[in-house]
Amino acid sequence: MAAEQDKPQGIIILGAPRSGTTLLRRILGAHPNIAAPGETYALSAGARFLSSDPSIDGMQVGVVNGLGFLGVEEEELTLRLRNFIFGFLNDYAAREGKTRWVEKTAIDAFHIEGIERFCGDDAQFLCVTRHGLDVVCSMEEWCQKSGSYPRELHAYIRQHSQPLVAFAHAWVDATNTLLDFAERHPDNAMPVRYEDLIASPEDYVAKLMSFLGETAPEGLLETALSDTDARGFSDWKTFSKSSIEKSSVNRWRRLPRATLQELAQIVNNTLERCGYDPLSIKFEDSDENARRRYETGLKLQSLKS
Amino acid sequence: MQITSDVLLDYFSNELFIDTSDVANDTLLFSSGLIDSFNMINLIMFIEETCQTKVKPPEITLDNLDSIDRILSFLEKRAA
Repeated sequence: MAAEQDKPQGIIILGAPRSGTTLLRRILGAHPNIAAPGETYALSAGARFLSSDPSIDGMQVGVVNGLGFLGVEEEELTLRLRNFIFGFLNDYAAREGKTRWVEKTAIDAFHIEGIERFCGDDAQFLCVTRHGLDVVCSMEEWCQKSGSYPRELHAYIRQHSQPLVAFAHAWVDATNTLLDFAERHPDNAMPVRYEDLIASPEDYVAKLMSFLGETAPEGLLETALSDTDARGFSDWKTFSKSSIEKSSVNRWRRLPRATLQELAQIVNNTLERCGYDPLSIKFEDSDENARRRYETGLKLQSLKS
Repeated sequence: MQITSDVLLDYFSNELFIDTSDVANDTLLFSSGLIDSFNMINLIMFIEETCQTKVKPPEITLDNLDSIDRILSFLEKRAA
């Protein structure tokens, strides 16, 4: 537990998009000490500010070396960047009459190393993991409904013609980066498994509060779930729910077996690293069978009408 | 292997990852949405493989395949 005197003001939730990070933010925002704005995109913007490209001779071309030539050390630059970004969140917390803030933006999971550069250990981090294939299913639904892919997924979509495969690779990359980060910051980062939170919310929230150095007030979950004001950029779907639904777990089991087999090869190592059972899918298909499956599918569609 | 109610329930549970605790022999499978199109195809292929037969397109009907009872009855009639 963080001691009161050195407890950072900021709490940052990191996790692949569709991992339950909004639910967690909603819960924390119901705490009387913690302000929870909508997604600010400020941390990923900070990470991009520090990004650079290597030149042919190995020099990193970007703001760190650009300002470095003016005598600005990286440490000073990242401190000023942190103060600039955290300042907005500190001000927001003050306006809300709270002492701390929690920041969560879905795509931050793809900017973890940049965020780490300027946040360091000056915040507490909740590192959320969820079963990769449930994330993949939810990402597909999210992109279909929004009619677009966030820019962080563009490279994956360009590389893989099947969206589910692209999302699986994105989950693997984001999750491994997240777990690496959590291992580098054992005192300031707490791994949070979405399924554990869903299975026993009261107990899990008590653990979270202990890590954050806070006390969970009575009725915190009820307060959180009765607040339907999504505030700013947010996952409106989460805020439309007034209870924690277990139906969001194991949705991947409805995927076709051929798809599961392909995805298993991509996600299994990372699933195991997160503590989930790897998928064991045995599926063989010939061209003839594939054609018959397609014809059977067409016939089944006609039964629906 | 012969197709029985238990064989089908095991298949639903172990291969299609369906919670079978509330599935009875007359529970509607496809028309209720319990089994979606993808898994219905898998189920038909499983029946074909297990019974060493081919289910013809005209036989793919709700009357033949929409519950465990209907599947067993369909296979019984075909075998007769």
